Amino acid sequence: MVAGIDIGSLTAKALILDHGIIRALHIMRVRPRPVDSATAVLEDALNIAGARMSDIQACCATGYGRLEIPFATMNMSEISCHARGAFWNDASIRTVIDIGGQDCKVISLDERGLVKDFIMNDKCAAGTGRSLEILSKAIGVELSDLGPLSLKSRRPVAITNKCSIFMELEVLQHLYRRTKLKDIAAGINLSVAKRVAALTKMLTLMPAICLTGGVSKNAGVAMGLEKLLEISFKPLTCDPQIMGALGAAVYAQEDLA
Amino acid sequence: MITAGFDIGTRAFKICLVEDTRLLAGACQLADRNLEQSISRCYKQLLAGLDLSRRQVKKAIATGYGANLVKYAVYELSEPACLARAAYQIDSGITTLIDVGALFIRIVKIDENGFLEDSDVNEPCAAGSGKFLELVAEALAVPFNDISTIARRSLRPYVITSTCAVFAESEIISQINAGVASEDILAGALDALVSKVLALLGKSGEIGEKLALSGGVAKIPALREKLAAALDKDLIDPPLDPQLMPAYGAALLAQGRSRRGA
Repeated sequence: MVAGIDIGSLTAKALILDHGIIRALHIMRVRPRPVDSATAVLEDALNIAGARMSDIQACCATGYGRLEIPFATMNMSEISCHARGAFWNDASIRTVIDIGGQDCKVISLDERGLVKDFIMNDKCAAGTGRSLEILSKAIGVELSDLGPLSLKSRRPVAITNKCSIFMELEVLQHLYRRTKLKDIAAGINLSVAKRVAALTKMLTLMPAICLTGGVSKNAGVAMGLEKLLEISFKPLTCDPQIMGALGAAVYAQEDLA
Repeated sequence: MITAGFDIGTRAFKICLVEDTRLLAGACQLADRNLEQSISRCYKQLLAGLDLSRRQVKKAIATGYGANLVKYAVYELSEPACLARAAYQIDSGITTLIDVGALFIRIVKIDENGFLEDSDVNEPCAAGSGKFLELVAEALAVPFNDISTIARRSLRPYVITSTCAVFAESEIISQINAGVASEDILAGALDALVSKVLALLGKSGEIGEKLALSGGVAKIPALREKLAAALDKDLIDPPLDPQLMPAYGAALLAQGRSRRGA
């Protein structure tokens, strides 16, 4: 039995793999220290799997806190893990677009699932989950409701600013003008989709393409991206937010072999 | 003649009442959801405090991000125009005024006749803005008024590596958890703000000899000191609340006199 742990900026993910079968997965909000997040998320996943720490033969850590986890037997970059996880899930995947809490990456894979090229934005919050979080808070909508709410809109508002803090101001102005909440929500999702679409322009998008990371669960952003890029995402059979942890677990398993 | 100037900023709104060139009264209040009502209430209070009726105010001009929300104003003017006018009033020798607000940093150049010569504003990115400083102070639970005192204690300012204000906030939270002292983080945030101002000044070309600093951020003496040291120049401190500068300028412009005669 092996474990993959992905400590992101907003959430910690753990996945337990047993001879190629996913036994458990768990996602939780991060704690201030990466080691605390890793311990807590792995314990929860072990409970779900009905296993104990001593059953874990190898543990691979990824994510920005990956170097601070003492019980991890190895660590891999997020890029490698997302690629590995998506390819393990579906070997036809050639492009992974991952929108996380604090970064956004586009990864090209070859037919063996190895990373060919990638591009990443971790300099600006626009086009990441943080931007969605700030803006949904500004309009008083739960982050998880932003996607469903936006799908009801027929006239999304145009958000012209690129900086999340300036966008917040713009969104508030729409709120003052009593613009419908669903139209603001749709505008917010589109603003994130636009930033991500701008990033993908730097790589050639080869099909099949999948969307991963926490933001992929927001249907407004996903559909916005499909429209902007004139593509359609291949659905994954596993929670798209867990892809990094899955990839890490696959690496741990390969390390055992 | 009595005139009014309104400056509706992104974080706070300010109102000034001026007679000829003398500032009668000024107010500064945080913007809220009912901005229009709040502006009206604040204006009425300001007038009541001076025993004036609204009719005695001959003209009002609005400026700022939300200038269109001011129903009392006859028209709107740009912030740089208002800032230039106010700067010329406090010292006719000022060549460049640096105004650091919640989101916008403006460099306003004034010619020898007190006219706006040129102005520059930061690109729409909140890195190193007043809002950024506010986020940092909030994360540290330091009240705005204490920023200066605490930052001055720092011997080793923390160098903030994130360029984005949103990411800098998370970076700082992890630094707090890692045990970096509040004063070092605050001093680092002030350094980030100073470098942003310097970058903008660098793009603006010749800035002249006499500089002044205004805006809400100018109320932080430690920032003023850091900026003056980085520029190796004295910075004129406006004799009024530095946050009121654009509103004061708007009210002065509403007086409608030629700048030379003022």
